[in-house]
Amino acid sequence: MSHYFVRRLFLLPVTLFAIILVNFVILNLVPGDPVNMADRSNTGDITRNADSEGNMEENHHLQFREHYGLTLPILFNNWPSITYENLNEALEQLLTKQKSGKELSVQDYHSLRTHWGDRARYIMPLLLQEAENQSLSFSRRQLAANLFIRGGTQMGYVGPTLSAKQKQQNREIARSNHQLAKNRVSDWDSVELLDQKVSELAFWFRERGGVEAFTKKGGLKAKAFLFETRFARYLSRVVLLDFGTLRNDSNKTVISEVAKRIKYSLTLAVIPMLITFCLCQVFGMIMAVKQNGWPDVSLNILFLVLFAVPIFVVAPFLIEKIALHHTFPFTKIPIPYSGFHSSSAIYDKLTSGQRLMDTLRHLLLPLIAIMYGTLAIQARLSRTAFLEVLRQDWVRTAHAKGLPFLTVLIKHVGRNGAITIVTALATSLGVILGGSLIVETVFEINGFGRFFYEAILNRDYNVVLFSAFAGSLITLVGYIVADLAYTILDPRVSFS
Amino acid sequence: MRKQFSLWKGLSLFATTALLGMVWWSSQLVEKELKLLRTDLEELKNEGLYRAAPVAFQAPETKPLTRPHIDPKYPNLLEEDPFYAHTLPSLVGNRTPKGIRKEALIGRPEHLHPFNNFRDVSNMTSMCVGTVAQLKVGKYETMAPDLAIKLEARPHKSEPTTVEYWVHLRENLFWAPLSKSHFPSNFELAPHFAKRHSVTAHDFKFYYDAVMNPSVCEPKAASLRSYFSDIEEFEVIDDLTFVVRWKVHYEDGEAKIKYSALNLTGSLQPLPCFVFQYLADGAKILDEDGASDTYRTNSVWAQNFAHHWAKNVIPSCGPYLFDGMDEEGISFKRNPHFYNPYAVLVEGVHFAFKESFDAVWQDFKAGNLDLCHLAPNQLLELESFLKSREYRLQAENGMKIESIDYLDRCFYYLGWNLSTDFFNSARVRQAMTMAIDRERIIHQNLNEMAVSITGPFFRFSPSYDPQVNEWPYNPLEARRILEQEGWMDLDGDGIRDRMINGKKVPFRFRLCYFVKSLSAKVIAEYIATSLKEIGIDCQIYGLDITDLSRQFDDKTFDAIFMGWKLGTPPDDPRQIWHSAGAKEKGSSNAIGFANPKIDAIIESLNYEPSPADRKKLYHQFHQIIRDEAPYTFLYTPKVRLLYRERLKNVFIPRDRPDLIPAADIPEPNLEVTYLES
Repeated sequence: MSHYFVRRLFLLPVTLFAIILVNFVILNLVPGDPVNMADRSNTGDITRNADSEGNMEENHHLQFREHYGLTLPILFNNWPSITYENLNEALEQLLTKQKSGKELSVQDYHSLRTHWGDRARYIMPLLLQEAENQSLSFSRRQLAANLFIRGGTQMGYVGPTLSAKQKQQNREIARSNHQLAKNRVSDWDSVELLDQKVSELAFWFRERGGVEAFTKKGGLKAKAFLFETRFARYLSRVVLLDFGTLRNDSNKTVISEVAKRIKYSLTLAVIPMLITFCLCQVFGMIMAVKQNGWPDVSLNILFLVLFAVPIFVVAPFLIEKIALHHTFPFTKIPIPYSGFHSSSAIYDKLTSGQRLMDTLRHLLLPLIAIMYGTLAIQARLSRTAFLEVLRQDWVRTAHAKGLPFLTVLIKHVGRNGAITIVTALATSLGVILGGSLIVETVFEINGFGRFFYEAILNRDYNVVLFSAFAGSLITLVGYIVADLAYTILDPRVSFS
Repeated sequence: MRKQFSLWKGLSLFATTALLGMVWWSSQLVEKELKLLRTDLEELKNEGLYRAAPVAFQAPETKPLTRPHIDPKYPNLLEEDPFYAHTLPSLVGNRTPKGIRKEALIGRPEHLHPFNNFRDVSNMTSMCVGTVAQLKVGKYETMAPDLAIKLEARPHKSEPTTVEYWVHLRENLFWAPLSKSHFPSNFELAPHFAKRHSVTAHDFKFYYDAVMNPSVCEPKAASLRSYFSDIEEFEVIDDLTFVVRWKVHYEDGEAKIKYSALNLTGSLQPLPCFVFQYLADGAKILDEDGASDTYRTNSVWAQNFAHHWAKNVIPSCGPYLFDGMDEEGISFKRNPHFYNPYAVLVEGVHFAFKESFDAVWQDFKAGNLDLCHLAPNQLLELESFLKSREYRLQAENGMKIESIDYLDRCFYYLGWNLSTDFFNSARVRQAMTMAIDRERIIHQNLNEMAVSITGPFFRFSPSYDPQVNEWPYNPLEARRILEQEGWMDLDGDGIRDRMINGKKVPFRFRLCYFVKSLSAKVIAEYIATSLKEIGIDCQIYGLDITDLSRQFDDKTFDAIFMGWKLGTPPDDPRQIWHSAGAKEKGSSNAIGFANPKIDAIIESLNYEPSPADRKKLYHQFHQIIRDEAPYTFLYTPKVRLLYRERLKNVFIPRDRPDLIPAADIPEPNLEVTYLES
């Protein structure tokens, strides 16, 4: 059997690689760039600022895209093989803003321009040749020169822990970028100025090794084909367990943010799981023992109703009718309706015992909201499981040999009936990561659900990819654990 | 016996584990407290004695303006604000600043970078960082001293017939030290940041350099760059003096600088060199930064600036000091050393981050917030709450709700994409406007909580021409115009069609709106119904904020329902209406509007100094936009600000000539409010 598990563990990274690959490709194919976001007004409508919004400059999100490696192709990089014909066609399209005789939309024109801007670093000799060609029109030479500048612009190293070599490279990059930026050709430049700027660009080009240095051939081309891609770059970080930082705060790593939220999500996933498990055993047993009697019928109806009521109805109902303006019975303590605990100003002043009570009070309503649905399903499931076990011969035997009724129920029926539920629970480990989006949103608890949901809305790629990765890992581990649980609970199961 | 033993064993094992768990947790808490205490002590040690807060408001000292570079020959363009000098002191008397004003924000700011373009973050930055000059309370286009004490217009160095601006900063202005508690617990902050630093002219120059650095890509910097690109030279004379030289333009042979130059000079703010030129370990980002244009050109610094470690704190030197941000909210405390003791009349402000307007409303009802802006569709809910037992109890305990209505400085519109075959004709756009009953929207969908508008300026701005006639609601006329324009029902399916390039095109388009706004949804539904009546199939398309923003930036929508938040005069219509942005991705001219007359007026407004002539130009502008109907102007919403009675001194300047004579601002200013017990 150990062979089986070793094989499963060996397959784990392979499966994970496939999952990462699929997720990565899907995420990269989803349309969308960073955008100028609108603001929400005090009353929830949205407006944009009429006095402080800029046009998106050509390289508006360049740093962002470079930082996330979005300027590279997704899986394979064949850009070093771009020919003059390809470039010529693209330049024509960019100049005339037309493709096959049809005018390009603003969106298409912009993405074409961004696309060729990203490719520019692989075709710099061709671009310089175009910019230097005095027989071409001003606008074509201008376009080629500016694409050349875009191709030559590099990103420096960011952060505090830089080596002397990296600092030296940063100085060189800054100098080089400045040299390129001041030669950007604008619409109102004269032809003489254009010539002068292009000759300075040519000097810059020669200074850095000319055509030889900027052309990839043979092995370098093959290396670029496989490794100068978004996926290779991402994977090289993941292998070192570096999942990056949040998009909006580079002080916070994805891992640290997830660790911060783990207590919320674990509490909201594990506690309801345990309580549900115990309660559904009790209810399932009552319903099975009193099959078709009034407790069975009434509990069945109750669970049917609970199962039918959606969570987005129950959660606001709990807030509006149970919590708001009401106190816990026989006390003057108001029932909290938001957060995992009181606000930091109050919570920080409490003793640890008071903090525990405060958190438990805050958890009451979210737990009810999470539990009622699963309880309804699991109780009915365990009823079926118990009914099946109750009909077994060995249960009749246990009764016949005079064992007390409760002992039979707990020791013989309970344990065997629980197998179904336990294996079902083990495979749902992935739920921990998914969180409970609705409950977290309504009760304003900052768990995984909201974290990942907001990451998707904010296009926080690192977080989204991590959530897909961690979700897959936990689910895969969950399946292995479930297989293990089978062998432990039922000795007849063997994987040899 | 064996069973009993194992039961006890199990129970005691559980109890011991639980006890150990509690002990571990408690020790963690104690350690955290001790760390905080140590940080506080370090801050106290660093700040020394200047931390002591005054017990009551004191009138600011007034000193004669004598300094080496101040030339008494030139008059001060900054005038003292009588409201702060006399009116407010008499209103608040000898009160001590007390209480934390609690407000709520919908959503959480992504970060607090100085060039974050989100309105809430911009507002918070301006609470913590002053500007050269500020508006007088309640008045447009005025300049009162703020971080500068004197602003002089001296003859321009290269063209003496026009002027350059000399700014003389206030002495004893300091950046508060950064607090370690505002950073993640594992973050190491160098001692350099735990000391206070003076606000100097170099900080203003640094701000200008950062804006002008082409590699700084933050949206606010990109937008300011288009304005500041007209600065020819920014010269620092000494730590407290700098000169802003604007480019001289020759209009009809006359040398002129742009009209906006003075206001923009007044709006300059400092960017702390002691933070944004450094790494967290106290080393400089750039080892060699001696050249005067280093920060204006260096791309590596710009990259570090975009991902700066202090991007989630606000270094403060203004009336408020940043006091931390967590998942729940953001806090500010009053700066006891700010030059104007009346700038803030409370101990602090806390903004709670809320997910939705409903969450804000629940919190306000529970008494956790001091104020709340009510949405039109919540009026009935307010009414029923005011009748409830809970509210009666609150009112008896000094928690009565007061309210004040005012017009929000924004307008909502339907933008027609002029590049589509449907809306490229002004006549069709006029017909669309005539087919929609805007009064009905205000009456039925907004509970009268809005006013109708006819143009792109704020209703109470001098630029808005009240004489401009509204397009009447007239579906019959709309039908007639559509028929004249060739839109007729050719196939009898109830939808108008037109032959375009030999193809029959039905008048069927998509109207995008913000799906999470209740009022937007009902208004969009009403518009679709109205247009259906004149034979147009308007399919409504609810989108979340990111996708709606994308449609706007990419100009891929047919029609869009959105709002513009407006600034205070002087209005600058260039951003939305100039043809330069008509075909640019991400430009505010999302509908692709281009009109030579409008462009000409925008250019004239650049240089026209006379208020009367400017007003004439704005009114012409208004009339042309109304006639061209690129937007259907729907309404300007009224806001009902609800506040608990402990918040005092809430008033609308425009309605209180007794406090501020000739005031023109129609919104309450929360910075002059205070809290009573």
